[in-house]
Amino acid sequence: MVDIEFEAFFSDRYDEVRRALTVAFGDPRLAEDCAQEAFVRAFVRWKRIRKMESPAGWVYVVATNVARRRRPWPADAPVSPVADLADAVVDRASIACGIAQLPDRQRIAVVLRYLADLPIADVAAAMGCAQGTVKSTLHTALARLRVTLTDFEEDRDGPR
Amino acid sequence: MDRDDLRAALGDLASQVAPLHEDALPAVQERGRHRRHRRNRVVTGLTSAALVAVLFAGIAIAGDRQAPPGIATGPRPTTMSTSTSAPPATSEACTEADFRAVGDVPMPTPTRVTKTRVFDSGRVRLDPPPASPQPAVPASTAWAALHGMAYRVATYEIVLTSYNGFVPSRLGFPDNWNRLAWVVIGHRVPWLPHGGPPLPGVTTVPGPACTFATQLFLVDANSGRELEESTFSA
Repeated sequence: MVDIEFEAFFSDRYDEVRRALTVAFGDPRLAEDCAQEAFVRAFVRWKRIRKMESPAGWVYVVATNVARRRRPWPADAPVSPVADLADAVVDRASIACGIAQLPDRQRIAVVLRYLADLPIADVAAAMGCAQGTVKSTLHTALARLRVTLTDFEEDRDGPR
Repeated sequence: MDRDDLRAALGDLASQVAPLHEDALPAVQERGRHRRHRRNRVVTGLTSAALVAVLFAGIAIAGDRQAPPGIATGPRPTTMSTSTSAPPATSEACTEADFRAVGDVPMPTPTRVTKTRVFDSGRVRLDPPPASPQPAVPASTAWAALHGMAYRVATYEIVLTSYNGFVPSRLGFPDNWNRLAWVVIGHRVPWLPHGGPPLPGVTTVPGPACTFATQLFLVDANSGRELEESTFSA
């Protein structure tokens, strides 16, 4: 019964988690490894996890923690490992490009908050920092995205 | 750009990720079952506690207590010699609210074990760590091993110790013996030994209410590897 419930949870959420982590980390292999590890841990503790308000949130937190340990992300250096993904997106391309250009920490915070819909507390747990730090990181990320978007529109529209 | 645009753009990015080549569920289940088998033996329920208590002639089990003098120098602990005093009773039932109050727990200040401590009737022993070598990973690595599953109603310690546990073992040899480790000790951790109360709207047969337990999370202080998670309920 419990295993059947886990299977349902897995089929509902695994691919979503894997995709979100791929966007966050820009590394499909790392994303898949971490997603699997997180779901393995959820399987082991399923009797407990299933009673949580958000089992998927727990999985995101664990997966991000695992990824953080396997590949610590730099604090500030902007990298764009998901640029290829962003190139493939036609609609909302400017925002997607902006997301791709965010520094790792900011992109991960944005993905966990706005794609995975985790509450700030869970994002903080996943990133190993205080909630205030998450809010600050999100604020900076959104500000940066707005600047990127403005630049993009100016480039597209040409000088005025 | 509003939040909906941002969510939509993120969704677009996620949708561009290559699809799965194969079903990952069997691999996850296999790895999970393997780990379940390897997990430390968990003593749960008052029945188990009563049986063990009878076996040890009325010496109570399941607690965190100081070992008698001399234990720290002994080569291997025995359950008989380390059970000396009754731990505080933890029969108080916890509530679903206790169980759900997870996260936002600050990391405790790490300490070193200075006197041997025993758990689970002596099956687990925390000895003072050697003066050298020093741990290669910080205590925060052990705290991270909780993955945010720290309960606000519990109290936590992080200790550096030389860990000795009879279980798990293979062919009679314990996996973790004289292992320099960071151990997160959770006191009064909400624990559902038999499944616990159902969630609102769930119509399964309710199990007993949760109880409080002592939890240990063991992390290798040299490699940072998570080794064991044990729970001892009263």
